[in-house]
Amino acid sequence: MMLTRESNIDQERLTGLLAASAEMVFSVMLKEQPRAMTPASKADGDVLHDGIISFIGLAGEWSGTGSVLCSGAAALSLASRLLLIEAKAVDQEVLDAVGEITNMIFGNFKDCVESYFGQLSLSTPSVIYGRHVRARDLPSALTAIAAVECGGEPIELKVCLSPARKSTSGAGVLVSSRYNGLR
Amino acid sequence: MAISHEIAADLSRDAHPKSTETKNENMDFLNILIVDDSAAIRKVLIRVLRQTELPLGDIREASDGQEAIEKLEEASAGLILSDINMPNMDGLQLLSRIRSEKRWKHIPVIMITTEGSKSSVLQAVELGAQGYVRKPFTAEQIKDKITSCMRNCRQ
Repeated sequence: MMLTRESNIDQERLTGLLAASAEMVFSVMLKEQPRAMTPASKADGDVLHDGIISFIGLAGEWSGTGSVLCSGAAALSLASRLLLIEAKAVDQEVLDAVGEITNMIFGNFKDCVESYFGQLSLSTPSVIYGRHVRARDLPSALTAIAAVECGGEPIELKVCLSPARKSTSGAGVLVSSRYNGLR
Repeated sequence: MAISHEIAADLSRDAHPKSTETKNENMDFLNILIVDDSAAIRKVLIRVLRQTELPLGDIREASDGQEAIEKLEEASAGLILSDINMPNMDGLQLLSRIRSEKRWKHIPVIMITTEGSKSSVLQAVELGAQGYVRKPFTAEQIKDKITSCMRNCRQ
């Protein structure tokens, strides 16, 4: 099924590329071959989650968000294997490790999909840790979710992309005027 | 589109013929400056470097280009491993600054980054990077890149 007129990639292919990017990062950096599994989240549903959600922005002709969702136990396991430490609490070091894994997964994913979506840029990741965190993605043209099991813990990966809205010259003038006014 | 490590290495060799300013003793005990805003990646790189059995001297860390400049002001380095995307001063700005300073322009710089786009690689090479390694990386990739980079610089 082709999802949009602008991109000629189907959801199955997109999900496969997402899972493949995660598998590559886990196998190279964590020396573990993750097992693909069925994601628990729905593409159009809210997420109510205890644990970690790591977000990274994608921007270009298409823009959107990539995210990694996992439990605190999974984050400890990821950080321990990445840093070769015995992480016992979800601290800055663990969150930093999850953020970097997010960066690598979506960095590779970005390279895989640029032939479909045009050149994309990545933001720096933001990592959230808490209980009863409710996350919601606004409707996007294209959403793909993949899940892998790594160290016995499920890790979900999600990407939401839409064609970027073109800025108008009027908006640029407005911003310039505002800055000029302040100065 | 992703660009292979080999292509990047070829680009680097083409764009940067041998530096005659790098001292041979750099490879005797290699003092390395790692520049990355992720503490996790800096830690992983240090671990990987220690696995390579390269003749390592001091390994210092900086979290962005600005801090890297401050570290270089304190003491120069035999090699810089730098991320591209960083706050304050990114890897390309750092590279440009290093190449514009006579006292540092001989220092080999290898970019280690998730940025795989050809334009980023070309920009880094044009600015004077000697090599390029994609994240995720293995110890072997780091070792091979450093070895070939230092060999090219010695010639």
